[in-house]
Order: sequence, then C-alpha cells, then structure tokens
Amino acid sequence: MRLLIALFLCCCVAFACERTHLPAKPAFYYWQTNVQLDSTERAYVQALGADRLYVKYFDIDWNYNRQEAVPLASAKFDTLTLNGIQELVPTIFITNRTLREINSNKLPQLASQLFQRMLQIHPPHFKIHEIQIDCDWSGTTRDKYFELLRLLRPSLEKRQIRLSATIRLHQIKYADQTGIPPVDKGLLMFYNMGELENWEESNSILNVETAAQYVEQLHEYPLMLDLALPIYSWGVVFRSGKFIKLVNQLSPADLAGHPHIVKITSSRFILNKSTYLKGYYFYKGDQIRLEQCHWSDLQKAHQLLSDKLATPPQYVSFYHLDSAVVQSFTYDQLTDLCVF
Amino acid sequence: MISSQIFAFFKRFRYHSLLLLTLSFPATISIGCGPVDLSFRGYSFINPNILDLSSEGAAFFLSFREIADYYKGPKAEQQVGNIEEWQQRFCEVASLEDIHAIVYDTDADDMRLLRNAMSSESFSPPYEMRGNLFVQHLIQKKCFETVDYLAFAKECEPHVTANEDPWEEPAPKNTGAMQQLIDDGRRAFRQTKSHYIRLRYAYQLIRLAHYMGDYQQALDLYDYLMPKTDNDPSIIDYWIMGHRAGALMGQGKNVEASYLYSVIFDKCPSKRASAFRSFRITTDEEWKACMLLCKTVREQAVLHAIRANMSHAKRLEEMEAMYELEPNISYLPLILVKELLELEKDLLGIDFNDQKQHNKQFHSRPRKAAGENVIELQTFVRRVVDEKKVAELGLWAIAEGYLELLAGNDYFARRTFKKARSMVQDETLKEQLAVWELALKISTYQTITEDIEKELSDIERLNRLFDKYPDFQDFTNDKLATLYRKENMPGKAIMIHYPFEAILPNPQITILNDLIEVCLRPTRNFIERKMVEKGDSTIIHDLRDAKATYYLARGKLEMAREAYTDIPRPDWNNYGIYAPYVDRINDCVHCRLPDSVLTFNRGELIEELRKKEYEARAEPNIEQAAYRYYQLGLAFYNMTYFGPTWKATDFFRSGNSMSKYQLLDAQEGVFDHYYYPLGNRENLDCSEAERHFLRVVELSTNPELIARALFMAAKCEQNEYYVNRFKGAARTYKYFDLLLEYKDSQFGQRLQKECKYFEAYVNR
Repeated sequence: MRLLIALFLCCCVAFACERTHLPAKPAFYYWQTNVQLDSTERAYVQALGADRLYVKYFDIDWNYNRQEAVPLASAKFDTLTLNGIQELVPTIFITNRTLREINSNKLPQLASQLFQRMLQIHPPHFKIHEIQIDCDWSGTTRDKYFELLRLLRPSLEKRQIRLSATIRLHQIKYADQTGIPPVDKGLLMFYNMGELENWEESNSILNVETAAQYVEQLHEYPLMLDLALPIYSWGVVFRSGKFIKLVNQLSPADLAGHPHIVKITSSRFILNKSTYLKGYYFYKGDQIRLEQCHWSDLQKAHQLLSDKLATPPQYVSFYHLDSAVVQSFTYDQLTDLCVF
Repeated sequence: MISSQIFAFFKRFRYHSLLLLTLSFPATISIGCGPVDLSFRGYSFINPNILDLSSEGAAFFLSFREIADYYKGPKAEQQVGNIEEWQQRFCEVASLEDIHAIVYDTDADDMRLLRNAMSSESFSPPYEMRGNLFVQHLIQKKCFETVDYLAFAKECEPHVTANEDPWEEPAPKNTGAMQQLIDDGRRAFRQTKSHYIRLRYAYQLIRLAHYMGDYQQALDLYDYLMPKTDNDPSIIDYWIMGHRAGALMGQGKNVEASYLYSVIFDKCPSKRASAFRSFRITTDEEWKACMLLCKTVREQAVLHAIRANMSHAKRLEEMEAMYELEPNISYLPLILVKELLELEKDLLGIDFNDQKQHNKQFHSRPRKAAGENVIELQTFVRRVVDEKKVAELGLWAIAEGYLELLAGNDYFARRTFKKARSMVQDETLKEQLAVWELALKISTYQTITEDIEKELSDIERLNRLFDKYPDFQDFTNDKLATLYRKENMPGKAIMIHYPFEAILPNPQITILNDLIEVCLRPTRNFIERKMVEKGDSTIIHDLRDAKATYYLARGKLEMAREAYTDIPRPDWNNYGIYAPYVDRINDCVHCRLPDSVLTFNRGELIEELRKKEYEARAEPNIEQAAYRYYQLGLAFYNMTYFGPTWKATDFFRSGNSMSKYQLLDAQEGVFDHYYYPLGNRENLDCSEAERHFLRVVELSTNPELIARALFMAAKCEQNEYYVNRFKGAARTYKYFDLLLEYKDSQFGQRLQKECKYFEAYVNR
C-alpha cells in the first residue's frame, strides 16, 4: 500500500513538473511593411532562440470606390537581415468592414486572391508551415469570415500549410455568439483589452483584472491556442476630452523633460504649448496617457493564463519586434513568460 | 432607441414631398434613408454659396454636397485640368471630349499611325480618330511635335502608372527601359521648338526619374530642363514641382519638399489632395525652417491652412495664425464655415431636437468641448469684425450673430444680426442673414399661443426660405413639439411629428382628448388643420373609436360606450367587425372563422358585452347566469393578444412580441417598435377573462361547463406564465389540477384527444 501511495505521489510530482516546465517556443510579431531587422533585433531574436516570425504580409480592406476588397501595405522583405529566422508565418489582417461589405459569392475569389498574393510576397527561401488570418470578426460577419477560412483550406492543405486565426478576448467570452473559427489552431491576443477611448482607463494594452473577466471559460475553448503577449508601449492622445490618436512607441523618455509637456501623474501628461512630438503636431491642452507593459503585469498575465489555459501554448509570440521595444525586457524575462 | 430611430422616418415620410422638392438646395446634414439609418439627425442653415465655391481649397476644406458636385474628385480633376489646358493651348479648336479621346484613350501605336497620316496623304489616321476635330487640327497644322510627344508620353505611361488590378503583383521596375526613355526624351526635348511641349517632356522625364527612385537624377533633370522652357504659366509646372518635391522627400529633405507641396496645395487644384497627403513636417525645427522657406506671408499662412485641415486639428489656433499673417487669405472664410458647420451640429436646437439622444449615442454630439469652442471662436470672430482687416466683413459679421445663436445668447444674436444688416451687400449673404434670423426667431419662442401658432403657420406657408431650406420643417416641428409638451398639449406635441396611425398601437387618453378638443374647435389654424383634418371632415370619430378601444382593452365597458356616444351609428361599421364568442380548444389567431359565428362592429360589441354583463348579474337561473359568464370570459379572452378577436381591442399585434428579448425589454405590456413612437401595447393580460371563468366554476354545477371554464382559465394561467417566463415566473398548473376532476366529462375526454398538453398532464 505504501508503495502504491509513493508511486502515486511520484506520478503527481512528475506530472506537476511536466506542466510547469514545458516551455513554449518564443516567437515575435513583425508589423512593419519593410521587413528589415536591425542588428539589435537580430541579436535579440537569436539570443532568445526565437526562430519564428509572424509577419504582416498585407492588409485587406474594402475599397468603396472600386466596391471590392483590396490588399494594402504589402510587406517588402530584406531577406539578408533575417539571419537566424527559420520560419515566417504570413499574417494577413482583414478588416471587419471588408467582410461586412463583400458579397458572399465573391468569397471564393477573395480566398484565391489572398492565397496567391501571399505566395507572391513570400520570400522563396523560407518554408511556410502556417499562415495566420487576423480579423476582429463580429456576430454579423462571422459566417462570411468562417466561409473565407474554409475556402482557404484546400489550397493550404495541398501544400501542407496549417491555418491559424487570431482570437480576441471577447471571442473567448462570447464564443457562443462569435463562434469558433474553422482553423487548425488559434492565437490568443492577450492585449488591447481596455477602454482605449476612455481617459479614465489606466492601461488599455494590458489590464489583468479586466482580462480575468474574459478568460473564465478559456479552458473550455475548443481550439488549441498559441499565445501573443504585448511588449509595446504607446501614447493615447486626447484632444478636448476626446480620443484622437495613438502615438506608437512613445516612451517615458520622450515625455520626460520636454519643455512643453507637464506630467500630471506617472502615466498622464498635458501639453502647455503646441508643439511637434514624435512626428505629430500636438496642441496646447492635449492630454496624453502613456501606456506601457510592465514586467509585473506580464507576470500576472502569465500566471492568469497558466491557470486558465487547458493546454500550454506551443508558441508564445511577443508583439512586437522592434529594437526600442524589446530592449525594455531582458531575455530571461521573456524566456520566463514562455514557461507554462 | 429603436423606436426613436423610426421617429425620424415618420417625420420624413410625412413631409416626403416637401423634402423631395427641396433636396437639391441648399445642403442639409440630416438626410436619412430609413428605419436603420444612423446618420446624424440635426439641422443646417448654412448656405454653401456664401463662399466662393471656386476659390482655392473650397472643395478640399468643406464637404457640402454642392461642392462635391462641383468637383468630381482628384483623378477627374487632374484629367479635366489637363484637357482644359490642351484645349486652351490649341485655341479651343476641338471639344474637350475630342481632346480627351486622344490624350487618354489612345496608345503609342495609334500615335504612330497618326504621325504617318500627317506625313503622307497615302496613310489614314486610325478609324476611331476620324471625325475627331483635335486630330484634324493636328494633321492640318502638321503638329508633329505634339504627336511625337503624345507617342512618347504613351511609352512612358506603363512605367509610371499603378496596376489596374490591386491584387496583381507590381511588375519590377524596368529601370533600363526607363533610363532609355529619359535619354530619348532628353534628345526629343532638345529638338522640340514648342516651349509648351518642352515643358511636357520635362514633366515626363522628371517623373520617370522620380519613379525610378533616382532622386538625384530627377533633381538634376529639373535643374537642366526647366531653365530651357519658357512657357506661359501651366498646371504642368505644378505637376513637375510635385515630382521635384517627391525626389527631395526621397532624399530626406522633407522641409524643402513640404514647402513645395504647400505651394502646390495653394496653386494647383488638381494636385491639392496629393500635396496635402505628402506634406510632412515632424518637428518644431522643421516647421520653423519651412516657414523660413516661404517667400511671402501668404505662403506662411498656407502652411497653417494645411495644418488646419489635418484630422482633429484645432482650427481656431491655425485661423488665428493665418489671420495674423494674411487676414485676406481665401482659406480663412472656408475654415470659419467649416467650424460653423461643426458647431451647428453640436448646438443648433440642442434644447428641442428630439433626436439628441441618437446624436449623442452615434455621433458623440455635442462634443464635450463644444461650449468652450463656440465661445473661443466668438472671441476671434468679434476681433476680426472689430479690426475690419478682412474683405468679406459681412460674412464675419453675420457669423458672429450665428455663433451667439448657437451659444444660446439670443438677445445678443438678435442685436448682432441687426447691426450686421448694414455690412452685408451681397445677395447671398443677405439671404443667409435672413435664414439665420428666421432660425433665431423660431428657436426663441418660449410659449405657444394662438397668435404664435398663426405666426408659425404663416412662416411655413408663406416664407420662401422655409421651403428653400428643408431643415426648417423639422426645426420648427421639434420646437413646436417642445412648446406643446410644455403647455400640456400632448396630442399636438405628437401629431406635429407623426401621422395619426402611428399613435394607435398604444393610444393614450390624454393625447386622444387633446386632439378631440382640437377637432371640436369651430376654427383651426394651418398647423391644426394639418393634424386633424381629413378631407371635408376631421378625424374626430377615429379618435373616439380609438378612445373606446382603449377602454375596451381594459374592460371598462361604460367608458367605452361613452366614447362611442357621439359617433353616429351608421359610422360604426367603419371600424371593423369582430366575433367575440369563438370557442376553440387550440388558440389560433389568424385561422379563418366559420360563417356561423356571431359578429359585431366595435360599437355593437361594447353594447353586447354590457348587456351580457347585466344579464349575467340579473339572471335568476344560476346555470344560465354561469353560461353568460362563460361567454363573457370567452369574449374577453378572444380579445386579448392570444385570441382571434384581438383586433377588437388593439390596432397592431406583433408576433415578435413573444420573443425573449422583446418580453424582457417590454414595460408594462408596451414594446418598443420601429414605426410607433409610443411603442406597441399588446393586450397580454387575461385576468378579466379568467375572472369570468372562475365565476362560472363558482356558480355552475354542470360538469361540462365547469370543465370548459377551467380549461379556459388554464389557458389564462399558461399565458401568464408565457408572458413572464423570462422574468423568472414559475409554471403552475392550478387549473389543470382542478380540471383533472372533470377528465371523464365529455369535454374532458375531447380535451385529452385534442390537447396533447392536457393529455400529457393527465398521464404524467
């Protein structure tokens, strides 16, 4: 009997160890049109052992003049700068309005165009194992979106390419209304979860308390999920009390000591004189909320997801790869976030 | 919310003919297109013609429909500008269409064939070109340089234009061929005598170099070629300037490039939009450097005009800067009107616009800072008026008054308008002033009296501005509705917006009484006549019938009869025929009724039920009395939402009312509905019927009748559950339990065959 109990305990420990020490592979999103890694980015990617890069190949938006879906902002590769990257995951962003406007009978054509365009852009030396479709679909566009995904499958299967889709938090919580996309796997975008346009919001990028309300049923989600975590920062600009724009990669250093910017709190600022900042013209009285991802918040997010995910993710992708962004975190910190 | 969306539909539907008549002029910002239209719902009284629509940037800065029609978009603008210039240079010998056909609808081969035809009479121009006056002129005058240039331009075209198919991969640039074309073009340039054609060659060459990405060559070509052209001013100068700016931008010289773009923005309508998009200043230092590059204060003011058009710009700050630099710059009034349009959306009629909730929800209007903005702009406009530096002082003077109106300073607005009259000479401005004064007059009524109604009637009928500016109708109606409500005239408050039919699904006694009172008046003004007159008569009997229906639905038979008193008996048949005593096991609202059932018009039905109630009470024979109660129960049941005679007590029934979300949202039986401003009341309450069926059970000893009554009472019980099931009501079976005792009666046996529900209950 003692032997059995000891054996049982050993099994428990072994399973527990396996669960907490199974690392997901790190990866990055690359969201620039010119795919050209600088030396800092390359070094970071290599040191972290991230050999997969999710690259936004192009956007698909609705052109109201042409009355058709059109590709925009196609990626241009400088493949010589991609040393160390083994795998590119073509990621295509489709606006919800495209799906809203397009006639269902045009979906086969769109699927074909999307696939061909992706192949045209893809640099030949990289094999494709997966493509990802990024779309914040809604209840009203669900059917068309899912149909588009289904239509993509035959071409992908011929080349043994897996299909994945981004999943937003509300699509987890309201899965019964938004449905489950017909893909091989999902990628949970664990960011952009707050009320961006509300000045009172503390951090719309990553707010673990808010997120907790959305992931209660995460373990029941029927798709295998990879994970995307945010490591970016931005400034949320309000003019006359109204949200007007985002300033990407705005850092505390950009604001500290600026002669025309007054600090209200650690993350809130106001302009006391009109001035240019990060390429934008700000007017006197404009307010800026600086939003960053702090290591402590990422740790909490990681803990929450460890508790809620049914199975550990195969990949943890960081959004997004940029020398200024990644330098805010050590390799070890990002490595820790891959352990589930 | 849904019902509020439909309010506008009815309002528009009612006045559709007027709206159609006046759609074309002037601009309105509140046009909607149906029940789910989410567009802004307000008013606009700004006539775009107060501005010079052909002035620099009019189309760019403003979004009036008239201006959009004036210009057909950048691409069309560019083509039109180009063709017009060809026409001018060729002394208008050919139509724009003929020139367009040659410049845009031919290829290089066509041009070569044309050249052959010019060289030798033994060759003919291509078939499509015969009859083209431009071609005839080129042949007649032996315009070889022009045709050679056009052939060259056609050769360049594939290298500098985007794919037609956006999904097609852009072909890699053939820089070798492009360079060859540049070299050929340089030779042709040198051999060409016409300075105008030289200018066009210069454009093609600089463009090729720019699109090759050889920015230095583009700039070198500019420096080499441009001094060798000596032509009259041309739009091509600005097109070339655009490519020079592009090349500078490519070299990272965005200050110099932005300066050039600002000049193009100012001077070249066909490239204004692209110059605006390309303008890129990113630091205070760059802005200062760009200002220093400007040769005049006007050019400096243009930089502010560009910035004023950036999204979410604080236009007032830019206007102030422009005014300091060049008070008479044409962009200033455009930006003023743009600001007025914004503030008008925020503030005009804010106290009485019945769609303000919609505007707040879907358009975030009024903006948080609207109150502050209107005061700041007022201060600036006052300064402009006081300083008298601008040429269009009249516009600024009346704008000051309009801003006061928008800010709610009616007294000052009136005073300012009065003062401005002497400053306004232009007829369009005079009309604009009259329109704003009329808007002020309507918006400042504080109460409603016979005289005011008459005054408004006269305005509506006689004032030509009322028809010309379509939003006056809605503006006046919204104001009147507010005043009617304030003066406790609910009927008129609603009828000013909606047709009578819109209030029937949930009639309100106060509204009906108010309207009956209007009908009874010996004289009615224009507004009242529109509300209640129908042909030679009024809707008074319809109102009385609606009132009776209201009471009948609530079981108040005496009051229902009273409402019918003044409807002449021959008219009773105008309001439907009803069968109250249909007796069925299964409810069927829309099933055809047998011819044998007793039918009544509504007046007779009311009398019949009163009589039946009296008979039931007075009948000495208990069983007879019980039977009469049973009939009353049937009648009241059939007249509910669930019965076939629902029309006796309701003017509209929606099957959708039983859906979960409708039931949860309903307030005391009233459901929101697209078309009905007061909602749709459904008669879901079966308690009156149930009361009568229970009386049967109480009085009768006849098991058959008791079984029937209990079954009907069970239906009432079930309906109550259906109505409240999403609010947590529990299903009860108290009447089925009682009915079990009568399951062996004839009716009980029949019931078990025809009502599976009861059968299941018996066998559970």
